[in-house]
Parts: sequence; structure tokens; C-alpha cells
Amino acid sequence: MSRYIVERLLMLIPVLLSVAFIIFAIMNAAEGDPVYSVVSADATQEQIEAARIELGLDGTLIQRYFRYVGGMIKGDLGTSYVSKRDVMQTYMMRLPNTLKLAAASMVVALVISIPLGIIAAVNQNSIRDAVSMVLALLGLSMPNFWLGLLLILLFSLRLGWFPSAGYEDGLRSIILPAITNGTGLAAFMTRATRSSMLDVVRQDFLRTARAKGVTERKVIRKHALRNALIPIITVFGVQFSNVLGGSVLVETVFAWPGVGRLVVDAIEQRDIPTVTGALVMTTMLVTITNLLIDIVYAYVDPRIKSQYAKKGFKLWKRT
Amino acid sequence: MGDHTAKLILDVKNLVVRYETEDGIVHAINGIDLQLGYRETLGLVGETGAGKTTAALAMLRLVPDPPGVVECERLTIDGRDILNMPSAKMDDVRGKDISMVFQDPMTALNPVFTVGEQIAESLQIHEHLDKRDAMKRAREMLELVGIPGSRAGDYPHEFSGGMKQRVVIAIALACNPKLLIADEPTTALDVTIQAQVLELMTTLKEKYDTSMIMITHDLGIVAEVCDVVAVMYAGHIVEQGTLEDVFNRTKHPYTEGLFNSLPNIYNRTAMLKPIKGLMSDPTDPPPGCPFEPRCEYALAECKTRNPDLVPAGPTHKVACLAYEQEGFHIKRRI
Repeated sequence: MSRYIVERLLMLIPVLLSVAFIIFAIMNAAEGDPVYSVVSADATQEQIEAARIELGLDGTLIQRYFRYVGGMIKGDLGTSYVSKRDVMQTYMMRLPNTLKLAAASMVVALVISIPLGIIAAVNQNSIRDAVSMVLALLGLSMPNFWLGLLLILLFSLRLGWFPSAGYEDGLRSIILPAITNGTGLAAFMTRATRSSMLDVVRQDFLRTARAKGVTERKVIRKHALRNALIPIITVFGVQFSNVLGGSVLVETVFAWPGVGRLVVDAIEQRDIPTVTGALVMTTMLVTITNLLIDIVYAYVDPRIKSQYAKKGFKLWKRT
Repeated sequence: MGDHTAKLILDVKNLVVRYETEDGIVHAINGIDLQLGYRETLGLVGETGAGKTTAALAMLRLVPDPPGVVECERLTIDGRDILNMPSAKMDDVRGKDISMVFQDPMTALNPVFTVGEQIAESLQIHEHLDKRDAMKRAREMLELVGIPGSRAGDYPHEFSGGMKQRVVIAIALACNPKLLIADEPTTALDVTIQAQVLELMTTLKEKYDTSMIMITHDLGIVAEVCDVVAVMYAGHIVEQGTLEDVFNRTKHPYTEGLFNSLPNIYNRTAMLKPIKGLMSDPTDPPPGCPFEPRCEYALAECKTRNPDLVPAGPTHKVACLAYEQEGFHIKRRI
């Protein structure tokens, strides 16, 4: 198992290098010379060339890429064209906000979706199933900026329970953005939970559990749910990866200073180092999330664990 | 409850089970009576779809509802009324007084728990042991069914089919039940393993004074382990009696057909003689005897009248209209 984790961590290196290269190449292909967004309009040719060297925009794409990777290894993602601040520092200031919102949204999603999905599956084709599925559909089709605005209207403006924007108010300020973000995520996970549970509730081993006197509640919560978890965890992982990249709409509605806004603002301002840096960091987080999800699989399902133990990566084995 | 139930581990009167599906009502069991004394073994015999498994599930009150509907006049186990027991109490009976070994060991075990945990669970529920003591007993149970106790921490996928079935048996026997229902426990196993598992079950049954219902379509198994036999066809019991009665004084044409479709060890070149045709559609049972369409002795009356199970000897019962004729006998090949 530990060997598997080490192998997966080593696999991170080529992934990050190629992602950095792809982002680099795309940014390079974008129209216009970024130097002009920095120097003043009446700058001389010498001034422009000086600025180019200062910004690290001289040399071929490959040369610049390797220079960037060299910095990346030391934790240096360059300096923003706009704010002139260190990109890593800026990103790290925003990241805790995004992580908080991501975690809170996932908690909301789990609390809604797991019970709803189980109720729907256990009472398949009943009224409870129908209600659960309508709720899921509602969550799925409701645009979350709109839901956010509705929540602000009711809970901030009318009732005054929660602040309408910002992040300074601790737990109170995260509740509305988390609910807004979480309901959309919950919709997917409710469906995943339902279909996965439907597969499991007809399995013979539940009958064995009932036959030895396990209560129906425990049959569902312990014996069935544990077996239904793999697909649910998969969906969870995908959605968590998505929110790690930031939720631009929710961040905008609630003035939540997360990574999503950072990237969108940087794109608008053609702030290439910030865009590249933020994307590389997000890729790293997503890859690490995937690894964590794979490790969780092994603890949920022993069959997967023994698979991990048996075979390493082919690339690795040949040596 | 009358006095007669006191001496019986199992007393079932007029059990009816039907599945009400969208495509129609499936009449799985159409009024059967079963009685079993302590320490006895009953063989419940019949082909696939005869209602054997449904009957067993009904005794455990595990017929899925919906679509299953169970009706019964009397259902007692060890003198306790199972029929009107609240479901919360039923959880105390299952696994403790009555337990079941299922047909397919490949799917009967939960893949995400160790076999030790699965055996221990039943001890935790019924004997209120804590986790450590329960695991200790689980290891002893594994030893009892011939698996090293050190393997208690392994998962089902790390065992072979025969070993999985031993684990299922260990689960069923963990709390020393008074009645064990074995639903074709050897059908999914290799022939060589079948004998081992069967022997294990009979040894343990003797050791713990357990009564047993052996559900099977294998007459060889019945001959080996059963004291009394009930032959089921299309949700009815068509012949019932001691092993001697049913095997040596066979009365019902269907039972005869079952024996005739066995390979003949004295004449190995003889062709098998299967029973022609298929069992009637359980959603649309015929008005008369359900076996009439396949029966070579069928009379005109058999089409319209369904025979009752009537005595054919001191311990022997048969449901066949042909016996109302003087001197009727089947021509069973011995």
C-alpha cells in the first residue's frame, strides 16, 4: 500500500510538468505581446526590450518553460504583471478561503445527498423516491447564482441571520455560500447514491445479514451503504476537484475572495503569471485529491486494496 | 396453541405465499403444512421454482414485501408464535432460534467485512458479547468448520467457494440455533467439496442437537441426511412421509418421476428418463392437479379437481386422485 502511494506521488512529477507546459503553450499562443500591457504607450524600443527581459519574456518558448519550471521547483511562480506581487503569495492568501468553501460545500452536499439517496433507493418507485428525485432535479437545474441571491434576500436582508457578503464573520459568513454551492453538488450525489444503493439492496449478502438478526436499519446503514460507497466516493472526488478550482459564480455573488475570482480577474487583466501559477497549483491539488480518493477506495473496499498490493504500474515493473 | 406444538420445533399450518407483481400474481406457495420434531431433519425436495426457498424465507419472515404476501394459519418455532411476533422481536429470533445457510456462498457474504467480523456480528447481537470476545468465538467457529482461526481477519474474496460455504455455515451455527434451514447448501459447490460440506453439517447438527430443514433437489443428499421428506411441486406438498415411506414406498407420480430421472448405477448405459414438460405457470395455475399436464397416470378428473394430501400409511401422505381408484399403483423403476 505504501509503495502504491509512493509510486502515485512520483507520477505527480510528469503530470505537473506536462500541465505546466500545456498552460504555458496556450498562454504563449494567445494573441498579442504581453509586454505592451506593462510598458506605457510611448515607450521606446529599448525600454520595451528592457521590460521584456525584466518580465522574463525573452528567449524561445522552451527556454522560458525551463526557466519557469526551475522557479516552480523552488516554489517561485513569478510575479504578477498587474499587482507586482509574488504569485505564490497571492495564491496562498486565497487558497484557505477556497478550501474552506469547498469543504463546507461538500459537507452540505453529503448531509443532503446520502440520506436522500438512501431513502430513494430503499423505497424505490414510492412517493418518497419521487420526492427525492424531484428535489435532486431541482438542485441540479437551479442556477446557483440565482439560488445565492434568493438566500441573501431571505436570510440576510429580511431575516438578518447571516452576512450577505465577505468572509470576516467566520462560520456565519460561510453558511450561505456553502448552501448555495452544496445544493448543486448534492443533486449529483443524490443520484449517484440512489443508483449505487439500488444495485446493493438486492444483493444476497443483505439477506444473510437479516437472517442472522441484524436490524433493518443496520442492514441498510452498515451492510448496504458500505458496499455502495465506491461510486459515491468517485462522484465526491470529481466534485471536490471541481470546487478546488474555485466557484466563480458563488464567489462573485458572496464577494468571497477565493481562487476562482483570482483566476478570472487575472485572465481579464491578461496577468499571465497569475493565471499560469494558479492553474498549476490547482492541477497539483486536484491530482493530490485523486490520490487521496484512490487511497480511500482501498480502505472502503478490501478487494481494491489487495489489487493495489498485487500490481504496481507497468512502467515501474519493467525495471 | 395446542399441546401438539409443544413437542415440535416447527409447526406450519396452511402457509400461502404469493408475489403480487405488475405482471400478475405469482402463486409461489399454495397452502402447505409442515411439522418437524426436535433433532429431526426434514428434506424439502422439488425442482427449481417449486417454492422451497420461499417456504424457508417465510419461516424466517424474510419474504420481501412488497411484492410478497404471506398468509398462514399457524407458524410456530420452538412453541413460539412467529406469525404474530412484532418485527423488532423477530430480529432476536433470526440467527438465534432459527438460522439459514444460503444456496450461493459466492454472494452470501458481505465483501467489505472480514469473515471473522461477519461471524462475530451474530454473537454480538444475540449473546451480547463485546467485539473482542465475539472475535475470539468467531475464530473458534472457524476452527469448528475446518478453517484455521488465524484466517478470521481475511475477506471473503480471499477464500474458495467451498471455504466460503463453511463460513456461511459458521455464521448460521454461531449462536447454536434450534432450527437450521439449509437451502441447497451444496448446489454451488464442486462435487468433491459437496460431500465434505454435507458431512460437516450433519456432524455439527448431531453435536449441537439442532433440527434441520434440508432444501435440495438432490435425492442422494436426502437419503444421506434426512429422517422425514416432503416433496413439493408448484407450491404444493404432493407427498410426505418418513424417508422409508417416500423412498421405498413411493406413491406420487411426480416423486416417481424424480427417481426415474436419476442415473441408474446398475445399468450405466440406460438413458435418463426425465419428466416431460415444464412446471405450470405460477401466475396462472391450472384449476386441477398442477402435475396433471405432465402426469402419465392422469385421469379426466385430474384436470378439474386438485387433490388433498391424504394419509397413505401411518406416517405417509400423498396428494393424488388416482389412489381413489381401487388397486392403483405406480410402476417405479427400482
